[in-house]
Amino acid sequence: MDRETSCKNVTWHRGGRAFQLLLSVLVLHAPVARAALGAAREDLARDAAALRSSLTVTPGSGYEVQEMASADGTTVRAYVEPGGKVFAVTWSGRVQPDLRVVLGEHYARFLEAARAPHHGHHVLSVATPDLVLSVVQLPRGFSGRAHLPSLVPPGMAVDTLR
Amino acid sequence: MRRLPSTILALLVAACSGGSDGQSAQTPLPLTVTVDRGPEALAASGTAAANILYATITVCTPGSTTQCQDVDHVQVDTGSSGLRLVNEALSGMVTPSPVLDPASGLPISACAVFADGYTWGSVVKADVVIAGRRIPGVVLESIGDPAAGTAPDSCSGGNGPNEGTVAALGANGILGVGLFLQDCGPFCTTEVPVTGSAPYEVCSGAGTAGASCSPTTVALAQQVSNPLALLPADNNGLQLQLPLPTSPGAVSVAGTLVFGLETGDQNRLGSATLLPTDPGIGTLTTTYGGRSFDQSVIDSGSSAYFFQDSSIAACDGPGSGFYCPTTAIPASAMIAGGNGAQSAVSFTIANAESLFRDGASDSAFPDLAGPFPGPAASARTFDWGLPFHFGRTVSVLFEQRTAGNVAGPAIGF
Repeated sequence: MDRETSCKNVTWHRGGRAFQLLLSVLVLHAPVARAALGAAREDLARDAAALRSSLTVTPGSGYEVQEMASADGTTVRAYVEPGGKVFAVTWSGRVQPDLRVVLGEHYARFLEAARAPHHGHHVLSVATPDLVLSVVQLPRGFSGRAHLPSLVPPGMAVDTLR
Repeated sequence: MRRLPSTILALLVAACSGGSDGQSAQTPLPLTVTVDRGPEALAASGTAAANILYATITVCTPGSTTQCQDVDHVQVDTGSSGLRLVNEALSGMVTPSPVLDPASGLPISACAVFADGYTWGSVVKADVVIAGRRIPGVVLESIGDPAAGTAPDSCSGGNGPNEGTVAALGANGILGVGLFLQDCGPFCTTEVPVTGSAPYEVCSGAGTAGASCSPTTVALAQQVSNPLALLPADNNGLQLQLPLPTSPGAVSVAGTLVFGLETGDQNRLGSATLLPTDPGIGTLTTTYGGRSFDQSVIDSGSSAYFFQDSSIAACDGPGSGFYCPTTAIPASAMIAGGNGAQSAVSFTIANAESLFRDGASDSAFPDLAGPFPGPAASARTFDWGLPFHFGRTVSVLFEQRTAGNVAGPAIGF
């Protein structure tokens, strides 16, 4: 199923206070998309399909959160700035989601850091002016977060991002 | 009513095997564990380990006492469960038996994902001897086993680099002796993950160009397992005891891993409080700097204290990935279990660049700490890595086991 077909499943519920976008993407053989971090809001439906996840949108003050949740208990959240770009992602669950999808074009930076000499296998981080990334392996589970400082909405204290 | 006598008999047998009869009265030997610069192949690649805990174990062909091999520099990891040995480190003396998927009759392959990469290998059975104790039929991963072939995209894709060599792994294997009995557990008996790699796959034509792999569920008995939970006695947990090296570091450190918890005089809890962890993911809660980190871990497989504190300067350059405060910072925190029990911790955060410069030939650094860069409000993990274990006895109680009146999984110190 391609992205255009997926988008037909989108239903909008516009209420007085908030609107919710609920996407039921149950595509079993979607191609691996490489988008989320740094990509456009419109690409997230394709990412959710690649991760076999549903997609729920929650508007926030100054940014919106698009949450992808899958049957295996993994959650990926994409934070979208007012201009429509994903400026941050977080993930957690029993398995690590495909980081090619979650980190998009920044996956290469994760690979580079993972190949550089470091000590131990349960923690990996990148702290550079253009990309900030932490990956944690728990005894049974994974979590991670990444953001692009240049895309953080002006006036937003990035430390408050949940 | 009929079950009562057999229960009493079982208790008596258990009590006898615990060391009160003549045959096993002598204290069982602990496993010697060391922190040093790592295996030969790591040195050959031009790097040295820092704060990595190793042990030597013996692996044998199932049922054989002669087809055995000592494997040195296997990383001792209380943050994971299951034994993984790099095929490159095995001499060919040992012939483990493949573990087959009962449905298809095909061998099962393992895809172990770490924060910084993955390993791909065969799931096999071997007899393992640890500190003189033989554990028959341990299911383990033979990392990089040619029989498993090249990792399929379903394992290699999106998980970082392949760590299936001694140089990449920094060890000849990983001895996962953490809280859980298997690496994956009940999840893998029913679930085939869809967002990322499945821990187990079955492949037809493995090792050939036409190999085709698909994720599979695996019964608990066929999953890569924590060997210490398979011991005939003293199998409810462990105690890890490491001396405190003098700051800033030591060339090497030697300590002990004692089998069992409260099973004899050799592994008493003393004044330590066992903190029950989350039964699903093995985490505790740390309070540090007025903030709560609800997915915290105590983990011998992490090389430093890792936590988010944006008021401490991070290193760039040689200490990249660690903290570099101008002068060492004394710090404190509380670690709490799921039942509200808690214990206090004091620790020191040193300048990692100075540690690595002044301790160029050292391998054990008690004050090494590093950040989890990112938004402070979304930081949930405080990782009490190997430095936490220096100068302490850390007790690990496995899931589904008890020590005194405490049920695992739990950690005490």
